[in-house]
Amino acid sequence: MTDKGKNDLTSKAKDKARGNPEKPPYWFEIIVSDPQKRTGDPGSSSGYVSYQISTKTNNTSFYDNRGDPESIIVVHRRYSDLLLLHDILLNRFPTCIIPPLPDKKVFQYIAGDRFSQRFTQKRCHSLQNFLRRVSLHPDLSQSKVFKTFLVSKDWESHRKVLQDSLQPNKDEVTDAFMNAFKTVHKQNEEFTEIREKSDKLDRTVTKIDKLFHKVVKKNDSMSEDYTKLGSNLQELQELVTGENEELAAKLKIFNEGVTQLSYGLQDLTKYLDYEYIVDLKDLEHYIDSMRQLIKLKDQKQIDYEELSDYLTRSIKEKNNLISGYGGSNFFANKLEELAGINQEASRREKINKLEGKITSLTGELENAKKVADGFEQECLKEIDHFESVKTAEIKKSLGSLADHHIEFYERILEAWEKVDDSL
Amino acid sequence: MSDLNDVQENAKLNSETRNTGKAEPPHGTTEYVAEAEISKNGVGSPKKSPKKGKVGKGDNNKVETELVHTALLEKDNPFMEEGPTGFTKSALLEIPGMRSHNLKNPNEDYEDDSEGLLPLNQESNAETCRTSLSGSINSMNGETSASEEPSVSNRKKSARIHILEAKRVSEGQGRAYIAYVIQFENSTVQRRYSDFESLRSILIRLFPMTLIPPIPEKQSIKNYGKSITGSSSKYLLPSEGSGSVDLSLSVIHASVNNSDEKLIRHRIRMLTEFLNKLLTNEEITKTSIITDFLDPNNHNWHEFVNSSSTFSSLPKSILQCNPLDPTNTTRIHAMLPIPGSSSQLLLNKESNDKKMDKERSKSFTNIEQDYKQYENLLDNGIYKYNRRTTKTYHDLKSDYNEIGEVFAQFAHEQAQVGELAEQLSYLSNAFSGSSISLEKLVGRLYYNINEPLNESVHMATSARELIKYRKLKYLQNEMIKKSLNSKRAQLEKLEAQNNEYKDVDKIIDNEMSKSHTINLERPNNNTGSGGKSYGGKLFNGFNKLASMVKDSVKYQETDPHTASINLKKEIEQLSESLEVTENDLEVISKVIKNDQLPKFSKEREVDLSEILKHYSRYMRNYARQNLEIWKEVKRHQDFA
Repeated sequence: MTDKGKNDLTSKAKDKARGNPEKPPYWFEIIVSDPQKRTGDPGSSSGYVSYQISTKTNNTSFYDNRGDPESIIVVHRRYSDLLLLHDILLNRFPTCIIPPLPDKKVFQYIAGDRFSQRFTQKRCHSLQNFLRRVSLHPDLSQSKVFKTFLVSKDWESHRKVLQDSLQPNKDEVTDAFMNAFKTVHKQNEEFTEIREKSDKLDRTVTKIDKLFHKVVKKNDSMSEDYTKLGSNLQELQELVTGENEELAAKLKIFNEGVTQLSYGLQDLTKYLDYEYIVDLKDLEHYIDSMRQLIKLKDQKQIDYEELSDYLTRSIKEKNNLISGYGGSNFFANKLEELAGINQEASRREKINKLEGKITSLTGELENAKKVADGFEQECLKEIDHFESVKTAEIKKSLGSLADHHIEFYERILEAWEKVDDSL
Repeated sequence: MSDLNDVQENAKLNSETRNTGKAEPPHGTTEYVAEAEISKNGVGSPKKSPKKGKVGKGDNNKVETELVHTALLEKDNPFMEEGPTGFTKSALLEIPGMRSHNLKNPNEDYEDDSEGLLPLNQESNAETCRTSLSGSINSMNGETSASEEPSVSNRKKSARIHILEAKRVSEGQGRAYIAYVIQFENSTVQRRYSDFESLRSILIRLFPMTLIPPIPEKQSIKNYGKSITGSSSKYLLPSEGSGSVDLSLSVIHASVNNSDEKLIRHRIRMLTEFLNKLLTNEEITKTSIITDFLDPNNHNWHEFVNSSSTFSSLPKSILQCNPLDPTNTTRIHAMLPIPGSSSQLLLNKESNDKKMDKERSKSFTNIEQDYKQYENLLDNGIYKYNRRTTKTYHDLKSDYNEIGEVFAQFAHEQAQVGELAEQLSYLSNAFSGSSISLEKLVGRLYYNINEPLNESVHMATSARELIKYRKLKYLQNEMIKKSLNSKRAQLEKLEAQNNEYKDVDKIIDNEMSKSHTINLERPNNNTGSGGKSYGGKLFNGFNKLASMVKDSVKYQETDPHTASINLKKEIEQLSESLEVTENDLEVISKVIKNDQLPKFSKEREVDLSEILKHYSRYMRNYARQNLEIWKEVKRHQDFA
């Protein structure tokens, strides 16, 4: 634990040395662990899983009212607490990519599997990924709600206040609905490129995910077969004992190798299943979150483009009126003349109305353009952040993958060297 | 001419082997002499019987014999349509077919042997004895030193047999077979699978108490693929052998698919092992049969076998062989009954076993159970799970290869992020490297671990066959005992009947004398009542006669006597058989328990140790290779 912390400190120091302005000013080390089943709230018929969240950071404000800045902050939260945190962040930081949470797992809920070790271990890792991603974001990591979540011992009271403060975003809902069937006319080439890249990334990660699922299944099968092989070797050893003592001894030694191979495969498989594949799945979700933000940016741009079209049509109409009579208006003019209406005055009135409209629209258009452009810039910034987080994540995941493979092969090498030397 | 010489040499070698092998005291020798004298008398007895009876029996025997042989032919050679016509005779030499036939029709077979074939076997066996005797005499006159040399040379040189080539040979009519080119010392010879089958069949009967190595199952090319692999996956042939058989030396000259190639390699390995194990068997190498099999001059093995009177005269069933010298099977051995599967039920029901028999049988029952468990553990445990893990490793190899490719693609896509692309590239190399090392591992596991394990399973099966042979001999012994007891009971019954007949005769004489007296005493008085009384007595007498004897007085008297004599002869015969089988059983039990099974036990220890050693070495190398691969990845990651 201490060594790990030191390594992280060194790593963060390196980041600072690079002078990356996008990096948050503080670093966090957050671990989600120890899933525990709890009895439900009064009135609730089912239980829930509580997770221990341990935090270490160089932000001294997190240690207000505490003596030791070097200690670890420990709190216990449940899934719905993290869901609330996620929703608050989504509400308050609309221009940010909010890291995704793992799915609710309705099927597991129904089947009662959500309390199994496999499920809870995988969820631990996934929740840890979520919090780590939040902690890496320069804005999200500084939010008050994030701090409260990680530090507060009185979370229950805060939770109620936060829940009340959640407001549905009606404007965005309306926009999303109305623009469901519209597309951007002029897409920024940069975004086209971004989209293509994310599509590729998603497909590749999905492929890797499937392949490792197959590997996990095969390793499980092999581990089981080796266990059975071990049983048979044991029986054979017992059978030949008394007749071939030397052979019995060799079988026993050999069985040690088989046992270690079986255990090693189990551990490697558990890592792949509980962590590596979870990383891949979470990365896929993260890509989805980025796509959501791009979609939101498209909404803003569509708003602007709609206004622009409207303004263009109004200006055209005014110009038509200014340019004078058209032959097609002959009958209209005749009718008005009979009614006694002053044609010139009527025409001038119309022109004045259009001019007012155009003036108003021009102002609105400028605002819309500001909003769209601003959103676009924020979006690009977020995507850059996404890229850096994604890259760091993949690196870390690959590093872990290499570590576990090394551990596995070291283990079986040691076992079989011992066996080989003894035989 | 040369064939005849070979035959004589074989006979001589066998004779000398037996003489040398026997460490029996003079008493044993005396017993054999006595048996010979008895058998002479036995041979003579059929001649005394009436001509009519003999002729009639002869005809019946001939007809039944033909029927039996026809049935054997049909059942013993299920692949008759596939096989060439010229080799039909060789089918008769196959023990497995014979056994399966016996198992299918135990009662019918038993009846045939005990009733129909008995006299015929007597005659043919007599001829066999004369032939073998003359053969021995002739061989004794031959050169002693010449026959000794081949054995000596075989022992001195520890040369090994290799199968260099497997090639497809056409034999006309669209049929083809695989020929295996065998090299031993400076000569090469070509044999096909059925030749090996024939050789093994002969060896089992020549050396019934010896553990004969197994050959691969008889399977057509198609069936093997389905039953064994279930897929057409191809395994990398390891560049080094596991010590016993180096398959990399063997070349397959045929366009075969993956399954066929596996089958042929499987056969090459097992057939090579079969021949090499025969070379190291002292009993077998005292004869010239292996040398004959490897002799290029014997171009056609089946013809060689058919032209050899030694091989042709071997009994069809191993249970009718003289375990000490199958080429000199006696008349008594030829008449021994062959137990079927139902006999085992009799054994289970038998509750009158002697203590000694019980103890001996119990000892072998334990041995049998141990060997059955051993075979089961090997076949359904160790071999099975090794096969499964090998297959899983093979499939995993494909997955790793695919992962390597996807990571390479991933690296290409992330080219803008130099560090990540580099890292992904190294991981791609890691998984590709793992895939390659897995391919090597899989090849080694398949050819150098699973195949030897499969051989061990077959060896265990052969060992169990040996134990079963002893068990069947025991059953044979029990059958003879039971038959003997039955005959004795029958004889006692018959003698009791004879006594009753004497009593009846006395009664009849008394009745006759009484009736005579009555007639004399009362010639004229009460004629009616006197006649009535006389008639009643006579009637009673006739009733008695009728109820006890149906035919004339003379015939009644002679027939029981004849039956009694016949029964006594049968009892005498069965007693001889019992004595022979008990001696055989003792010898067989002793040899198997004290010699063959311990030898097998040592061999399996060596074989299994070898397999364990190789497996751990392969795993060690696999782990080391992969560890280096992943450490390389880690070094690059840390550097980045």
